[in-house]
Amino acid sequence: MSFYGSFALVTPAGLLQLLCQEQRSVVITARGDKSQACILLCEGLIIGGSCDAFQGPEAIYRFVTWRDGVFRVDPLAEQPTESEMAAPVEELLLEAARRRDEFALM
Amino acid sequence: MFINWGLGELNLKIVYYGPALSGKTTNLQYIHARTPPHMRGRLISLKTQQERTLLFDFLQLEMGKVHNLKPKFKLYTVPGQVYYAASRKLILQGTDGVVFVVDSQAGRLADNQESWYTMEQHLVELGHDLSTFPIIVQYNKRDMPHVLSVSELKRQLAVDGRPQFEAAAARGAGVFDTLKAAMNAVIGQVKTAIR
Repeated sequence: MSFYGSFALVTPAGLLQLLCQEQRSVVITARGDKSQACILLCEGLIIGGSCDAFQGPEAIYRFVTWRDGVFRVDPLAEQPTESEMAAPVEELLLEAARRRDEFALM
Repeated sequence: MFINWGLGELNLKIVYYGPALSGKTTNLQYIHARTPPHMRGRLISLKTQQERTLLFDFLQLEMGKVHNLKPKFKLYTVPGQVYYAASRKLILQGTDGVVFVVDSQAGRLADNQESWYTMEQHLVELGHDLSTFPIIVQYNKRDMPHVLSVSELKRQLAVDGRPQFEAAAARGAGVFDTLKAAMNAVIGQVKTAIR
């Protein structure tokens, strides 16, 4: 049971918020233009992620800036015994937005 | 508004908006500190220039259920500085109501007006009808010297017809009155929308 989609129809931030609000435990695998990402959600919290060479929160900050690409969502088969983070999606998205605003100032 | 069928919850979002240092964060810190732990989530705090951006979940049991769903509010502040436009717009996405925190000090009038204007602009861009969207006005810092009269602030900001409260959030005065009015306005709007 998977579902697929395109970031032309839902943004990466929108997809993360939807799945987290529903408190899902899933794996998102995504492919963009020359980029790849894998994000793990457990009961609505983001517990891990990679985006190209970046891991953890930095991977999420990169992932949410994608403007195009495709994604696939699968159930999280098994929760990792040690997760690299357990962060509410809002915290990560707000930090990403803060960085974007402050970067624009520089 | 987000309906979580699995948990039987109606997730609603109220955003505290206003110019930098008007007291948005002080309002949320006061509410969080005086809410029993079983009724609130963790206070998430992000360090932005001059002040902090806060958010937390707030379970309101007194209001009863809406269409058999428990209302659960998520309270947010926005960073007030002008250049945090993308952050403010992200926070306003999906909001069900706004508390606009006015800094009553005479020297902040232009900041209040600019912030009010950007709030309206963002809400319109997000597709809200300003004539029906719940916006509660809080005149904060009434305990400070050199404040404008409430009638002058009303006139300058053109907020007639909105629920309005005077507050001194640092002492807690008016904080819960404002919050209750915002929650009632949001619930009222939801009931109208799903009638």
